[in-house]
Amino acid sequence: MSKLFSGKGFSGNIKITQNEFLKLRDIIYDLSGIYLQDNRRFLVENRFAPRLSELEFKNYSDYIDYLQKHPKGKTEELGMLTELITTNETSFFRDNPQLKIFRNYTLKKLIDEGNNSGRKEIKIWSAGCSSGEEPYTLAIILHEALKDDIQKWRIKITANDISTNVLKMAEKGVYTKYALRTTPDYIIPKYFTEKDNDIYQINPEVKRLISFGKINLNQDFSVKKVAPSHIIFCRNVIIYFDKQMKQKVLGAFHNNLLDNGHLYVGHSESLHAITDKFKPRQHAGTITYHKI
Amino acid sequence: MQKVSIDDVQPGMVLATDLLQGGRMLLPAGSVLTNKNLSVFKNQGVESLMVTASDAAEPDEESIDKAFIYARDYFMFINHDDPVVMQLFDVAVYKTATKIMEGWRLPTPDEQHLTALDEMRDLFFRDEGTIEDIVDAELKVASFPDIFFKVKQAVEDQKSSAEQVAEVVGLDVGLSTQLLKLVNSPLYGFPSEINNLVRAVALIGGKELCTLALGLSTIGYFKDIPPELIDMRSFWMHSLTCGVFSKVIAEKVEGVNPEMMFTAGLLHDVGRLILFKKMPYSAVQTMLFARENFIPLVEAEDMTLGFNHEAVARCMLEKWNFPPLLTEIISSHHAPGKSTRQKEAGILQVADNLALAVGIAEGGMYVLPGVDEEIWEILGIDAEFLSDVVKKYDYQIKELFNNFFS
Repeated sequence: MSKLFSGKGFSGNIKITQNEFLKLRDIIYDLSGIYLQDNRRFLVENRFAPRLSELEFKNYSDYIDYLQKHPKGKTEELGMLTELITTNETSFFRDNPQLKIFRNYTLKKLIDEGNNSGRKEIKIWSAGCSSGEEPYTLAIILHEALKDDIQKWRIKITANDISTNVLKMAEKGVYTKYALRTTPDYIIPKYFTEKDNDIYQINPEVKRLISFGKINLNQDFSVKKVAPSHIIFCRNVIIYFDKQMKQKVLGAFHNNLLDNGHLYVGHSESLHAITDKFKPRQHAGTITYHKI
Repeated sequence: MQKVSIDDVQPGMVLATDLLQGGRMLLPAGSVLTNKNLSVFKNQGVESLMVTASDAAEPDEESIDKAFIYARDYFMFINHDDPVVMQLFDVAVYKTATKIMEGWRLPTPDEQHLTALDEMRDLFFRDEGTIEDIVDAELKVASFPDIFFKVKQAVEDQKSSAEQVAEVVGLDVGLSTQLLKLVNSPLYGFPSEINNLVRAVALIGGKELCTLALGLSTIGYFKDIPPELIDMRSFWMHSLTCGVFSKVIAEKVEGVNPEMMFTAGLLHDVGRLILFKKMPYSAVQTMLFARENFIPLVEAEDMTLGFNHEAVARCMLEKWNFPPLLTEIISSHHAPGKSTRQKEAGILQVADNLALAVGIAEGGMYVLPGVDEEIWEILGIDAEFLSDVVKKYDYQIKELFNNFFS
């Protein structure tokens, strides 16, 4: 049995040295706030190999130079990089208990307030929108909640991500059946058009509510440009950050939220011992964080 | 799959289709054939059997390439420069390639993902409770079977005679049957059948037999975990594989008790089961996170829960008053270097990684967490030994599994 298949070039032809890995790890942290643990060396080597070949680099030192010195290094390439080391796995209507609370609690409150005051406005920020499933899901929930009344409301969903690639996918709004695996059946024909076998296009009235754009949560100036929001969704993003970066990002969310604004984070993300700028409130199956 | 005359069928071959006679099921597909089966079939006039192509041709280039790419993702967190570790990779590729040759279709990325359930409630939200809260809540609602305490007492009592030990274990008929199946398995290789517990005690030792009984009786405690949360069959298959590998490796390492290691292997992931009982939503989210990011489960637990199954196991086993040595080994299998029982915890870590490597070809979902570098030296085992272990024991594990869990 022992023919050492591993001799076939386990991670492609370009090896990363420990030194190069540490350098790359620091650069990624400085640029994006994403912290790579020490045992990610082979993962990086494996996932980056095709990218290095594409750019025709012979070793990681050249790639590190490119990241640091090339005009595209800190912008486009950084997006590529984060895409390689984080997951974009998501689906429509992911984490239903949380979305139920969003609809029945936060959104209901906003709609009631808007109806009473006459200021019919809802602004949501989807920070870390990946390929668009989250902001589109929120837009669909808004349609479902407001129905024909939606015409009378000013709605803006700002959807940002660090990766240009995933943003392109989000803007295209075309998905496979797999992305819809957690979507209630009645929603699909209402808001999607089946273009091909198992290929679905999101309908324009949903898309209209959203503006997509690139953002690096580690850059204060780009975060400050986001219009103040009633609600922020930032799910499965801060899990990649260390404590310092988490505090920074949560501080930025606090600044961005309007008074009494709500923050939604991923199920396994908690603000406990990170910031006291939000008041947690428990619901069945989820927590909402309220701006203090 | 191939048709083999009953005279040519060897014990250890796997039945490919259900064996029926006059509409009556003699043995279901997937069963590992034993000598006993074969003599029964011969008596009943069975002439031939359909068996899986276990001795199929060596995997070809194409299936090796496919298996190579598939298995590679599981090995992202281990040291690629270590020849022993890379032997694990070779084992995984070879086994996967063989399965592909037999017609196994590799799971697509979609199939490898899990779907979360909506209606699960955890004991608490992240950071709002402790491991101890989890364990206390568990202890409040469920109690261990009596036999467990009796066996435990016998383990701890140095003076128990063979008869006394046999008597205690014999109180539970199911347990006795399982124990006898275990000591009669090729894992022990006794030349003649051991048909009673007193003899088993004489051959293996009273304390050793009790340690095995402790492991087997713990399995029963976790029967009620909802099947939609986790595939318990694969869970116990991995655990049993880890137990067998732990025992076999322990036999090569001086000063380590193989029976203790079997039980440690069998129970090494009990912390995960407690999490499934008390934190089901988070436990599923953790599996999702580990899968989606292709990171070791233990790391995903630390990220999503803030603690891991090792720490849960330690707390639980301490409260159960488990033998302290077993508790220490089980709760150190991801960081044996830091344990007071480096050798034992190291064996468990190697066995766990080996079991995961072998499990890839069975549709296993989790990447190998890796082996602490110093462990190889401490244990003094090499690459060749590991692949021998797999070669020798793979079939036996399936047979043992069918004995215990079917």
